[in-house]
Amino acid sequence: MRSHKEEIGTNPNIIACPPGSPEGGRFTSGEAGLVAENPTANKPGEAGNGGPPEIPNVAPATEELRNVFVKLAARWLARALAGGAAGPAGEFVVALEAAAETALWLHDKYPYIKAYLDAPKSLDELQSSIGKPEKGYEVHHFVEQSAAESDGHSREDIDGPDNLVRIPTLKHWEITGWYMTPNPLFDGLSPREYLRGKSWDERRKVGLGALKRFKVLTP
Amino acid sequence: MKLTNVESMTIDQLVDRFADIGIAQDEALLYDEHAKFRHLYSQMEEVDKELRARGTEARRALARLFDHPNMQVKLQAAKWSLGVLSKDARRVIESISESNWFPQAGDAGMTLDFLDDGTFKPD
Repeated sequence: MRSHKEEIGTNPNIIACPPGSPEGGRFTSGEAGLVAENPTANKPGEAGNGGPPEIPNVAPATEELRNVFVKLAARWLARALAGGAAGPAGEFVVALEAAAETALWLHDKYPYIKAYLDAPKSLDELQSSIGKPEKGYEVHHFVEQSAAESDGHSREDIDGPDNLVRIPTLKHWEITGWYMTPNPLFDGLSPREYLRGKSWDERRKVGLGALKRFKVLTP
Repeated sequence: MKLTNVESMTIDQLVDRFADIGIAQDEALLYDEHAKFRHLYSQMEEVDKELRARGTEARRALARLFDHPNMQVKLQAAKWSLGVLSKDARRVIESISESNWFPQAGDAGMTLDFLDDGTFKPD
């Protein structure tokens, strides 16, 4: 069996970057499909031809790296399906499912990929599934809980059924990421910082907007 | 990323630096490295400040990145130039919003919402 290093070295879709280079030990999600690999680590990569990410032969070394592969795989599949590339998407799903039969880490992560492909749902649907825990999904407070609480909103409102939805975990991470990162719209504040001190209604409007724009909630 | 003195850079070099920062931001988002993203954001602000100091045409040079292959670079170039290239930049943001390329598609959609409701007034 070839080592991961040998595999990288013979795969024309993968650009290996030596450890110590600016990209050493990393891989990226760029549209150009660059892959920066540290050949000494078990890290997944993305094909350089716009194809799906390479399914690692060996489990990525850390949970963080396993999650990075899962994000790349889910996002690639979502784009392929939305772009009408059902054939390549189907081939990738078959490959993922085959790999998940023998790779415990991928078996564990596959539900997250599947959940990410859900079509947007109505608010009723998202709220009615709150009491049905399922791997690949998380409960999301669409008025963010910690920020709302620190502004004096009651736990009753924050944890009320009206403020909770069950959404795909990877979508939850994307929305939380948006809330946390500084944005020129708000003079460099993050949306979370911008919303500090704002009314419940304003927070709710932004929360619902994010669910729609990240394609969790039907417009 | 190398330490740089933006004041000594040409406009083309500033635009290239903006793109490099955007690529690094894309990776930080993928890895959920929020502290790193904040640092990179400060670097992007520094480039923006220098472009602003050189006038409107200098800021319009970001349009070169509207076709950049990295979606984060493309999105940031459009967001940061909305004040001087409103129609073209908005068109780029709309196309990203419809692209299904997440998380940038979501960010682009939220930008449009905040533009349309008047919360965001580009300068």
